Amino acid sequence: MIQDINPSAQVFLANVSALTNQITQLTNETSSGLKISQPSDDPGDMVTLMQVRSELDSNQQITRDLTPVLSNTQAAEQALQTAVDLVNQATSIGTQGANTLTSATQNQALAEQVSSILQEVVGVANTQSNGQYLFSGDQPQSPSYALNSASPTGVAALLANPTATQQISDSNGSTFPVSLTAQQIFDDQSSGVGFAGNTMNLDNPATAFLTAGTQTYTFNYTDAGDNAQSVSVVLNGGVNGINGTTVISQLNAGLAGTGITASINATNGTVQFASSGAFTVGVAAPTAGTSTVTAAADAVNVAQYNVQSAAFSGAGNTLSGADTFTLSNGTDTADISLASGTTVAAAVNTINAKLQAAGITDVSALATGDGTGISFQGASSFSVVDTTAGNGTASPLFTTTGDVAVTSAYPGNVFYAVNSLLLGLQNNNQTAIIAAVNSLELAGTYLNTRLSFYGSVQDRVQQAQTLATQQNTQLQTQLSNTEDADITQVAVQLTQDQTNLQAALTAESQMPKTSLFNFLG
Amino acid sequence: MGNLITALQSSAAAMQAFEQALETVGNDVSNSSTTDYAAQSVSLEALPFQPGQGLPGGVTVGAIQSSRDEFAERNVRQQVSLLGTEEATSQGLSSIQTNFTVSSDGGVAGALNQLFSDFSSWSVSPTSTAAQQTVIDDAGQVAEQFQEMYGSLSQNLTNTGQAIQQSVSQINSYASQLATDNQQIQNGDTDDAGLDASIHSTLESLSELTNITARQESNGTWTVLADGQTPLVMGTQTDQLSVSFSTPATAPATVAGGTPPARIIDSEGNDVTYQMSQGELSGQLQVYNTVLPSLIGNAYQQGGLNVLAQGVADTVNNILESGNISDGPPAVPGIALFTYNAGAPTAVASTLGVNPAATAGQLAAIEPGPPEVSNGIALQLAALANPTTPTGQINGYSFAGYYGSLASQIGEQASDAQNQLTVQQQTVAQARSLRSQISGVSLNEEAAKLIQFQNAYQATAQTVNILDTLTQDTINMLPTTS
Repeated sequence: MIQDINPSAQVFLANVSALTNQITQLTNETSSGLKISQPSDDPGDMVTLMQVRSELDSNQQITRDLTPVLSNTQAAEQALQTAVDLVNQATSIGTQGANTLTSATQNQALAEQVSSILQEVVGVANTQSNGQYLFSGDQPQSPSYALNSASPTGVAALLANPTATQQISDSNGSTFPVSLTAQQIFDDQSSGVGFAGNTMNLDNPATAFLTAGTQTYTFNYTDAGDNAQSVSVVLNGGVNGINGTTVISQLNAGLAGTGITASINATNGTVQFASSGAFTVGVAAPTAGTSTVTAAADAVNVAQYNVQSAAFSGAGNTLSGADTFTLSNGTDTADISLASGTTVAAAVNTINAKLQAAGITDVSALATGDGTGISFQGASSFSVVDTTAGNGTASPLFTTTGDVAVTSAYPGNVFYAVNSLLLGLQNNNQTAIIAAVNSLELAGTYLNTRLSFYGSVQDRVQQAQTLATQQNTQLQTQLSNTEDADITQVAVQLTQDQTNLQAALTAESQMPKTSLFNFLG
Repeated sequence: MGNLITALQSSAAAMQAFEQALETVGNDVSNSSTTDYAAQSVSLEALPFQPGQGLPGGVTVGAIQSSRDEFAERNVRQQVSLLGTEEATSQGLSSIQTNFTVSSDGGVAGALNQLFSDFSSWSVSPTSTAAQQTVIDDAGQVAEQFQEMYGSLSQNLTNTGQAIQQSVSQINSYASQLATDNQQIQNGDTDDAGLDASIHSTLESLSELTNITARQESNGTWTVLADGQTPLVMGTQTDQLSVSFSTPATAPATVAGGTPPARIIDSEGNDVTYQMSQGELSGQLQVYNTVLPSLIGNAYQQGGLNVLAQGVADTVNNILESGNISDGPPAVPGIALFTYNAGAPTAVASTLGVNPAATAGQLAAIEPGPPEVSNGIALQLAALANPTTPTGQINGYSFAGYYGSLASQIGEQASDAQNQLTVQQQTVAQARSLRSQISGVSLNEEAAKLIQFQNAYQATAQTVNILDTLTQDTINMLPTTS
């Protein structure tokens, strides 16, 4: 049956509607430049789109974050170069002062120059960039040092326990440190430092110990009140002996409450002790069987500053002569006197009481593991000046040339080296000037290692910037491929669809719309 | 003379038949545009011709025939039901997917990206109160975006719930209309083409709302069942449906505080939701009970948006609380940045906020270690933008990726619904076209019939005229008595 109400009209309209929707979609793509404006446009790419955009935002932020870091690193490097130049100047001045032909008056004049240099070095240590102190580590709002002529180093530390633990992340998520503290750069002391990571290794990874025997470990440590304490742990091998695991188990049982823990060193299999506080260990010979350590005398606390072992001697390990010394942590100083005949244990108690009274809570004295000497251990730098030295008193605590012993505590200390030169020039002390020049050379070498740190950080930051730039490009490309419309293709398709629509409408309009009724008279 | 009279009677009957045929043609032409009107036709039947017995022959009108084809009608109704499903689903999903901002750095994803950038910026200046304030401000933006999206989706839920109620109300209204039509049929109005058109129009409208089975009984009335099972109309009786927003006793809620599902209840209180498998109501139920709960949760699931909000809040809070605000001594531990109502899993996104105690200077940047890293916490938080470990991931996705997976899930359904809608629109158009070809009014055909019946009528009239003349002449030929 042929109908005059076109039966294909509804199909035609449905097709026109579909075509119109497609044209609308293409028009939107043309105007926005995006092929995705809502999730249904490309559901399969939604996760990729969101993740890529998130990664791109993150990467762009990392790029922005790296810029000031590089700027600060460059400023730090420049400052350290200045410090190196200043140390070189001081060395040159010291060389002049060490010349025996230089008069005391001339040395005074040189001292003024060195004083100025010390001031400048302190200024370098307090270098600011973008309102932050570059070498104040995790406390960038505060300066690190001030001049203090009363201190052996000539400066006073203004920050308690300064640290520089801040890191920066690159685009791959790898992090790396970017700064050092002024203490690490200018005020380094390789001795007399270190509660943190305070470990002691004893050797012998043998598998059967103390068969039918015992072995006594003696631990000297400081309690929470900074009082010296001692505890002995007796290992019992039993009939068949014990293995390393049992050794550790017995040790830790005996060390309960001391803060000291025993473990097997994962690297070399030795017995290892650790504590967040000061401690020493002494190991006696086993009564029978194999010793848990082969060389008890090798037990070395890597973070201690041991006094001369000969200072205490004879039965009961008594001090052979009176001794007076000062101990300073840069902020506070304790004057300590020990009478002749003082035992190690009594000396330890006296020293710790004096340290406490002076407000020095971060340095402790302990009996050494063998009980024949004293171990000074500090959570921060400290210095010891034995005032007995050179006074002719017999058997001083810190060797007969105590100042040398003190000097050894500052092998790379820039402040100490410059201040030593200053004092030597002021006192016209040729020996001290020569020693100071040596210290300056050490300090200069040390500064250069710190300079190289910032050089490597700069390289790392620049590599991170390059990586971030590459990833930005890659992510932008990926994002563009995912969400951007191919305008050429869209334009072609749009033109084609519009032509189709126009053709359909034209064809429909030309369809006969008359019926026989139109021809009836 | 007798033959002349017989011929006149036969012609008169023919004229009446042609008049009725012309009337039928006129009726078809008049209703050619009437919805669901089916063309009618008359059949002319020969009368017996036995003059000896007084049967003059001629034609008469037989029964009026409707061209309606119930198979074509049923096919249209089935396709219309499917179209209703796709229309409602597509409309609901189109509205839902507008909540996902995917073409720019806006919405939840944009706010999260900005927050992670802030964490990164803070890691460069961990002690900066300005950097921390920016973090706090943009954390507020994250919370606001979650709340906004949740609110918008909740409004979708409310609107869909109202649409379900309207659909059920409309179904009941159509059922009542059909019952009234059945009453009219029972009253004897069996050959009313207008009533027939009205009934089929109502059935088609009803099928757009839900899948129905319509059967014409021997007395001419219509019985309508939903999904072939639940009676909607039987004779003059209707069984009204209703909507219940509650959890069934057989499936109690498993998520505290979740929105109960929408259920369709028949007149006997039975849950017949599962029978609403096609039509707009089906699509609306799908959106209300499945699609939206997958995002904002209901009595049986937390919903992806709440999972995302809780994932972000818990991860950021855990990292911050593992850090220190300062080393002290004593060290000051970190505090949470986000808060939310932990007692209502489906309300996490809507209750997400910034901890009032988290002020500038109170955000923990220090990772205690060992080794301690003064900006370690800020770096961990910044790394959430592109996490490489399960921390900061949901189902293996980063937070941005998970948001993308939610958008993908909705987009996939919306795309499918739109495509199926387009196909179904064409299918319905074809079904209606097929039906029109079977039962529609052809004006050409009607015009031909009109001419045919007009000519026949005029010819018969002429015959009557001639017979009248012949009769008159015959009468005149009779001898007069005077």
